[in-house]
Amino acid sequence: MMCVLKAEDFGLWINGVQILKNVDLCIPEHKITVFIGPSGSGKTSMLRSFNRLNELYNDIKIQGDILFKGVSIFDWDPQELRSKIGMVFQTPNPFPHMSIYENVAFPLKIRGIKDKEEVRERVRWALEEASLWEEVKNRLHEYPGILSGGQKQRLSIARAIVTRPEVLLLDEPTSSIDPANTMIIEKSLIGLKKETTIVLVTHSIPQAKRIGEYFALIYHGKLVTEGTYEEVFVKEKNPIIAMMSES
Amino acid sequence: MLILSIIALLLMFSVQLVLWLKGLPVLLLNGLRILYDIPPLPSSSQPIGGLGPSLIGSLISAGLAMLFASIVSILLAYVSVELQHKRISSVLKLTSTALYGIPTITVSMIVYSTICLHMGRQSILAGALALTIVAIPMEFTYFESIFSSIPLTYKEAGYSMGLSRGQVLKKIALGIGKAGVVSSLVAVFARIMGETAPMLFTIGNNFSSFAFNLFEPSSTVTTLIFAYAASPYKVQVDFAWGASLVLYIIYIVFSLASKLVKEVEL
Repeated sequence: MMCVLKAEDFGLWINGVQILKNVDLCIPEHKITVFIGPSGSGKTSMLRSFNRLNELYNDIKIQGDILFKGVSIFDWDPQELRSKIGMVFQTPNPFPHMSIYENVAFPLKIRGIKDKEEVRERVRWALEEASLWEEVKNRLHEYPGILSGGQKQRLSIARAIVTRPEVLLLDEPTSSIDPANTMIIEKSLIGLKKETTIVLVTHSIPQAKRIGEYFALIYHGKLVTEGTYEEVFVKEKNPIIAMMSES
Repeated sequence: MLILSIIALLLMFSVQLVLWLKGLPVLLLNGLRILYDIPPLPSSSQPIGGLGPSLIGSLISAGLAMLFASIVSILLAYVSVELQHKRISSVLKLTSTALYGIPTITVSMIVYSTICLHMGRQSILAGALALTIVAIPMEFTYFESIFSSIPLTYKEAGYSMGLSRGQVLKKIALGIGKAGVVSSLVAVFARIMGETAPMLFTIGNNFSSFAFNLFEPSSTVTTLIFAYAASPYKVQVDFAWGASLVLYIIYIVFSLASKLVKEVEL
């Protein structure tokens, strides 16, 4: 199995509190890896470790390493690393001062892509992949305030994928939106895995089962188990998963 | 409570009434000339003339101060918000509060003793520096409040795309907070245009000739009012009233303009 991201004995302390403990984990290329676990178990911190977002606003201490394409992420320039690892957040966050089109074109602009035709094509591609094109194609120059929560989240996904990142991190992207939009997003993610490796945090076991291909159960900062659907849900009768399935 | 409110309203109204009653005749007598001509001589029979040199001095010194103070304040406020859990944030806030507490006449004395005495003269630049010191804590407070109100998720979205802190400030924080920043800048500009004490020892008393060289003495509308209001010549006292009304109208225009900038809907 080709690991695009690989945690090796990884430990994380945020502001003096240990959040992750001795995590060894492989994120397989071009698959949808799902982090599952109860709230506060460390899933999001693990996710934000991959693009070094934890260190922006906190004092962090680390142990072990995370490799991205075989190189320690701590040897990467953080900005370059983040440009290769896209992220979608729990709360939809299209920039309110930019139009729908400008939001998606913005990451291209900051990478110096100025050819208008190329930008137009890539914006359209990203919006199509995020299943939003048909709904916004006639109002691309309006502000995202007119969109529903689910549409805003799909716009955030389009913005995150427009540069074709090698990895796409999603932190509970459907937790604040309705079931119809959740289904649309899940369908988009399944389509996107041919383009990028996807890492999704969720505490919805049904969602994990619907779209996940590789699973990592994190509990109290430790990786409890990882593997395919068969390995995690069928062979191993993990009590934490059983508890989460019931709730 | 109602009676106290009425008294307060009457007081405010009477102050405005006096200003308009004393200043309006001078404005009507001069028309637009009051904006560009030189002031009347003490020997003049009527307060016919303009604030031109002082108005130019006010605009240049306040404009320069805004430029200096805005660059410093935006950067410091952003650092303070971005590193709000670090000691540097508390130090910046404390420094700003301390700076805000320094009497503006003291600022004038400090700039006079450190800049004017070394340069051998008062100047527009010295006046601008004094106003910069006055403007920095005001702008810092405004900008810190604006940057704090921008949800973290937008900034994190920027960082997650590979933006640097500087790019997040420029492209995202200032973009989202644009309306607040512009209205704050206009409000502070209006405020420092009306400052007198910081200019008393620094910019000079050159009321009658236009100065555009930053190293030359000039004057401001406020220093003209200060000097002319205390003059023994009635014509200059009358002219000071006209100048006061012009300054007040400028303040009102800028204050209203600051409220017209549309907020970004989050």
